[in-house]
Amino acid sequence: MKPQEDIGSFIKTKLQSTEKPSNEETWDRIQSSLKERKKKKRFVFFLRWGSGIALLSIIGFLILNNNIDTSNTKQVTPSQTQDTSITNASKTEDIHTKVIETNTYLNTETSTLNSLEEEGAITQDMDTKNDPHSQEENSTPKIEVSTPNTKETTPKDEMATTVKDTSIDKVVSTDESGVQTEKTAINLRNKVSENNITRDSIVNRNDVPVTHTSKKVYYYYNSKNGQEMSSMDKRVIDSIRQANEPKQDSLKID
Amino acid sequence: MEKLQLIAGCKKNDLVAQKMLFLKYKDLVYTTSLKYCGNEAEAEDNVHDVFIVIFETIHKYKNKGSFEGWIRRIAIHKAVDKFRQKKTTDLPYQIESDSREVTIDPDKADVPIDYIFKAIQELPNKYRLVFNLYQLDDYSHKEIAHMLSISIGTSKSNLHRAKQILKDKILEFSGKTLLNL
Repeated sequence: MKPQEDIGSFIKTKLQSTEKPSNEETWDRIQSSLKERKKKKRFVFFLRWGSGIALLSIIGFLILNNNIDTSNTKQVTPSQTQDTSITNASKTEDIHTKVIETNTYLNTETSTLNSLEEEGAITQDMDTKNDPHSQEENSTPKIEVSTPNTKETTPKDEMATTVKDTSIDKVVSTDESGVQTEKTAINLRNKVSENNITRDSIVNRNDVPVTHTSKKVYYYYNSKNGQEMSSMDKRVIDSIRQANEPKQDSLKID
Repeated sequence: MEKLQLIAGCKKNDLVAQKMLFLKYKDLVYTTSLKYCGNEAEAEDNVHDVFIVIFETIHKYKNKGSFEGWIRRIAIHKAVDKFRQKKTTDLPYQIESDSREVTIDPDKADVPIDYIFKAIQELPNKYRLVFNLYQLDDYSHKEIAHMLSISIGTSKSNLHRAKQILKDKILEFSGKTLLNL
């Protein structure tokens, strides 16, 4: 009688040299699977590259867009100073009209600061009139400029403005009643520059290119009779001004 | 074509080389798959999956060690992966291990190869995998436990149960043949 053998070892020896034939048709399946996988790999490859390129182009576009925004805002500043010079020029002719630039998309605070900017321009202009060479012009009665919609530009507030910084230009203007009014030209200009910054940050924060649409409104105020008028057409204001302008002879000082 | 040439061709995704390699090793992969899978259809599927893996990862083979052994390991791991994906919980865990030997008299166990394959395939999944891994492919119980996410005790217990079932089946077959005679 043979000794007992472990069943595991018995099966192992039986199967050791055995190979069962496989079906050759499996190759067709393998081949088609390999082709599909190659296609998938290609798709994934192009998808990765495509998404990478798309991402880079988006980032590039955003960076480029930001640069354009920055350059636009830089270009805006000289034009604003040009506006100021225009209003200054109009002031030399002693025209008591005011141009207020109103941006339709900005909030009211911004437009108020815009008016302050122009106020600064006015005071700067008035400063030139304080020059001794133009004493004659200063002696002429002036019609005070007013902005009806803004709190800062009312005559009372102008009077209440205190000058703290010694470097600030003090502008002394004499109105019809002989009351001297000090105005802080630089202070107002500073406010204007702050306003510019605020505007820029708004534009940059949204990252949206903004089209400026501005309207010029001309205001007329006669301190003699308290007549006020505003118009989009400068000619209308000019005609009223010319009609109410005192004659040259009456302005002469005895 | 020599084996090294075939491997080099497969690394270059040469379709002819791939087919030659398939024809050369298909029986080896199929036989291994037959032991680990529940039936012939599953074994065929495993052959398909194994060759896909071979062709996709052949660049990792650095001509060190037996290529047949590398292929066999892929076939075993693929079959085990399928088992793990199924997550069969048809059997309760048997924590207590049984180290008693299950023996058979070789004279009484004259069974054909096909019957042995069938008997192995009919084993419950966990028993079959443990028996194949430990008994036929020389994995340790620790490795089996790690591969199948079971304890070492469970692995030993499953092996013992598998052997017991196989013995019963072989003896049953031998008894039937004896009765027929």
